[in-house]
Amino acid sequence: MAEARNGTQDPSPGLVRLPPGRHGLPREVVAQNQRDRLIAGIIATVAEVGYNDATISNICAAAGISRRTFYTYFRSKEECFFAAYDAIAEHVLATVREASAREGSWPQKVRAAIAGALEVFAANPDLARFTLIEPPRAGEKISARLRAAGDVAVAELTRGKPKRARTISSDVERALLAGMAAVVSQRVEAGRGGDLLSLQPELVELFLTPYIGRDKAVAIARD
Amino acid sequence: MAEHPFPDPALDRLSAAGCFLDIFFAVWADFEAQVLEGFESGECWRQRVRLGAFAAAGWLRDHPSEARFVFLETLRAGGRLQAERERRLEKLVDLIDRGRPLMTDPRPHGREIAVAVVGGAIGLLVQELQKGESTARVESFVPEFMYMAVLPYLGEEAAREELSICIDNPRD
Amino acid sequence: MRLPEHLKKAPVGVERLSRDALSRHQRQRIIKAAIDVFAKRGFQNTSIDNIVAASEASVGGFYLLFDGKDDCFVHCYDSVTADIRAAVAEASSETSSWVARLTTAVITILRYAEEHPLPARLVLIEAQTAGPAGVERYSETMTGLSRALRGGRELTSRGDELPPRLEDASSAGAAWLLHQRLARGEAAGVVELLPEFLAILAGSYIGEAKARAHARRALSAKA
Repeated sequence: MAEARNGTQDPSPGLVRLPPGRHGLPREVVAQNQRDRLIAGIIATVAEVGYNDATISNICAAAGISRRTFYTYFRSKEECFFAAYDAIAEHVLATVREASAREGSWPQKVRAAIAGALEVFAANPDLARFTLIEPPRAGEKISARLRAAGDVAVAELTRGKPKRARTISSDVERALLAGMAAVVSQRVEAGRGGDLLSLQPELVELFLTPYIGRDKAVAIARD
Repeated sequence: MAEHPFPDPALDRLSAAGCFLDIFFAVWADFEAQVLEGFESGECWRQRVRLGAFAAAGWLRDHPSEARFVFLETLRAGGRLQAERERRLEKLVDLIDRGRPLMTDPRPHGREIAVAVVGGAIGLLVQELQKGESTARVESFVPEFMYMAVLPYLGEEAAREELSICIDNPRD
Repeated sequence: MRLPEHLKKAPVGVERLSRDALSRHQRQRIIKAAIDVFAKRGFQNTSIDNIVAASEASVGGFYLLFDGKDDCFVHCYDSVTADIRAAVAEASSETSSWVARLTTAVITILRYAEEHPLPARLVLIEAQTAGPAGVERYSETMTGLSRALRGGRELTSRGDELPPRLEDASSAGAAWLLHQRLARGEAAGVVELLPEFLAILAGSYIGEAKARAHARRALSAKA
């Protein structure tokens, strides 16, 4: 990601359209810029009209990129979708890890992780539309990607879980994740995506209760 | 008539004439001849259909590229070729339809049954070709095809018998 | 952790999509016109200019909605099959027997073909030559019909003795029967073939005679 690469020194060109003609920027920077814009383009397009109705023309129009250039990065709409999905998942995971690293006990880590994820979606609710709401409507392969992301989320949240916490079957864990995703999705669909952080106590309680019991879960959630 | 480039060397020898339609006529004529040979060697309608079906399966097995051309590629062709294709399929329908007198109850649209029998078989064949399956497999479908062909004309018992008749004793 | 540029909410590039530009009305108009054009001229002989002229849209407008001819065809196909499915759902009753439901479905489809021969041609005739996506759609539809028919096996005690590809063949046969009528412009009165259609589709489960009798009753009831 441009941010991570450039740190505080060179201001990255961000995601503006590069000036036409020779601009002396290194090829990798141009390529990254174009690819990033396509990712931004498909996220915006899918959030507007859904995956099925999104066309490569739409995506290119949103990204300010020609169809020909699209095909130098992706072979299909589906491939572009997965690239964007991976980019979002990567960012969410990095955010969540950074947030939970600062905490001491496992329940506190879970709370920080959930807050971190909610912050990402609140900063841009289209990301929630893209990763949570659209996939079930977009066919089996894409739904499978969502399920895989859920498994990663479960693994991340339960990492470092102390032995004395109860063991839950993986089916129930997946169901917990799905429940949390549903709560988030509902709010985004209601147009209140900016207000996702207020869901934190509810989601923390929902997730922690099966492991540490309701009283302790509520205490952590309301802290 | 537009030239159609064949990537398949087996069909290059047929493309000397160059015309797509002519190639279709020639290949189909070969297929039809083999089917009719089988059909006409039978002693009753049921046996004729069975021998014709096995003959068709044999031709498809031995001519995989021609099979793809005639049954799959021609779907994409223009109106004239589609019309010629349909006319030829009608001849196969006629062969099946000769079983109509065997039906127990008289019906006003008897020929449609034969249309559906042939259409069903072609539909299955096209599906297999689209999936890239080998035409050598067609033979193993003949008993099933015979079940569906015989059922409307001779009833359930006869249809079931067909399921156990294979290439080794097609004259049963 | 801040969102990287390409995951931010702001629009990128020059053109910004809006729901207005992709208005449902515009899309429906083009699809309706395209169905007619595809069915009358055939898929091969149809150009985007033909469709644009028939729908009084613009080429730019066309490309905002569709990637090209193939993509437009697929949307047309889906639109027609959705209409047919809706008609069947409306005519059906959950409480009827399997055979009654099959009868209703077949009558509905045959009536649809009588009343809307051009859309019916698009699905049954043109799809097979309309590029890989069209072929795939047709294949999916046939697979769906075949699967739906398998339920009939429960009506006979000898269901598992029936040939495994029976439903594939009977649905292909029925489709070919209708295909022929449409191809010859003889769609009018195709409902009268109901006994033949039911004999083909249900004869193996309940016997030819019963299937035909059922059909004749259904026809005289609607007369």
